[in-house]
Amino acid sequence: MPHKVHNEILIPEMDILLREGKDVRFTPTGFSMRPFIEGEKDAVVLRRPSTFRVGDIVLASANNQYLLHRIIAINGEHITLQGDGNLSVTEQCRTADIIGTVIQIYNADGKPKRLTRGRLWFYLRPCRRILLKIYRKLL
Amino acid sequence: MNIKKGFKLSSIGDEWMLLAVGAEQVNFDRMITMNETAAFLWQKCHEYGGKNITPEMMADWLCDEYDVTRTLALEDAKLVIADWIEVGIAVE
Repeated sequence: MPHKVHNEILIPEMDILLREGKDVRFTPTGFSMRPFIEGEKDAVVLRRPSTFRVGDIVLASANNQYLLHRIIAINGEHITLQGDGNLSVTEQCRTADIIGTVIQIYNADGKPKRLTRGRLWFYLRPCRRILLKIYRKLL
Repeated sequence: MNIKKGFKLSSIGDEWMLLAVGAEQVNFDRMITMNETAAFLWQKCHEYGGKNITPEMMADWLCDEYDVTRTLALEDAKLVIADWIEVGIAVE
């Protein structure tokens, strides 16, 4: 009976529930948030945020697609996002395009991951290329 | 058969999704997709209080709504019930 439902259908439904004040849990796809979120393995819990800060991982609509990326800069309404696994590509959106903020990450065994390590990763951006190389070899 | 409580049925386009809506968290990883007929039966079960639903009741609803023979409707109803019990959204 179960089959894959596309993000374009699911995310608007998540948006409604987040606006109602509920938290939403799902397993994202893609590998752009390596090493902190492993697509199709790790689950994330989102909450509708009242404020944002640099370092937050957010689900947002940017460049006509949905992205689960980290905020790397905030300039008034303008937000710059980047995947942890991306070296130079960034995306732009507005605060109104942010659907939810990641408040928890669970690994495939259901154990919570520490969010603070992701913030540290953000400050290690200059060393990312080499660290990602090592990480991919470890997999 | 009794259907379990705490689920929200949503239709978006051709899709029907059944979501476990907890007090604080909604888990999309436990989402159940349904076809139109299953969603129709789920709504009907809900209207009838969700308890002590029999395959015969479901077959009646199917015959009223769709152009289907009673024998086939009863077979389908039994399959749907078995499916729902298997995925944990209903109990015997």
